[in-house]
Amino acid sequence: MIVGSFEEEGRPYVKAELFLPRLKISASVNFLVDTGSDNTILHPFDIALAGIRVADLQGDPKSTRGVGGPADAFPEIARLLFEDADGITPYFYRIEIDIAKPDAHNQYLPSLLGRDILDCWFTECDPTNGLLQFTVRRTL
Amino acid sequence: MCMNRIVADPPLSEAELAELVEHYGSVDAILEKLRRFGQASSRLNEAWPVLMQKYPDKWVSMDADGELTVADSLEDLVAAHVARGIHSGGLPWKFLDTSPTSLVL
Repeated sequence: MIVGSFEEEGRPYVKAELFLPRLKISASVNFLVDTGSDNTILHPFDIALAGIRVADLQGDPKSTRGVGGPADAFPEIARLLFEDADGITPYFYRIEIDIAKPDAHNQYLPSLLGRDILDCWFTECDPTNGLLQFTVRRTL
Repeated sequence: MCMNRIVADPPLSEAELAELVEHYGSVDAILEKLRRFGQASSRLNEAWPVLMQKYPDKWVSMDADGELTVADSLEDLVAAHVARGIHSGGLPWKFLDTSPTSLVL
């Protein structure tokens, strides 16, 4: 069981350890749980805090689109680790994370945990009782 | 502590384990990092109402021991972490926005 939390705005978050093997960079990230996002995406604040330099991202960015309009992101091989509530079991996910190209619209956005991960979990979300937890059905 | 208690499918290869060990040292180190991040996040969330009053429109981060860093910009926040010899990627942060807008993501 992975436990998330509702932050002060009432938004659902879950914490993960992010490791980018090519860049040899890691960061603990508070991801906003977003079932409307196909992919997990790192936004500029967390990019900066992790010490990722956009100049080190490789390849041509791919185009994405959302309610804010089109945006570009660099796919990067990533490992995400989540801690079970038992405190001793880590769950490991191999994904291609989207690292957002900073622009005028995404500067203040939280990083998003998308369905590439969420589709692996049974999600229980009851904000009225402060309950946000995820039963892991599979890892990647 | 052995690395094979990491739940992964397929199980971690030797190369993947080596990669993690080289970077983190051990599975326990990864979990400890996450645990401290969780503690820091909880402290920051609890302190948020007071921080909003005290440091409006500032950037803040907090460590697991409750030590607060306040800055005027994200760049200054990262610089403050560097000056203290800590990596920003291990700390939760907030922008204490006095004019928040709704998010539609």
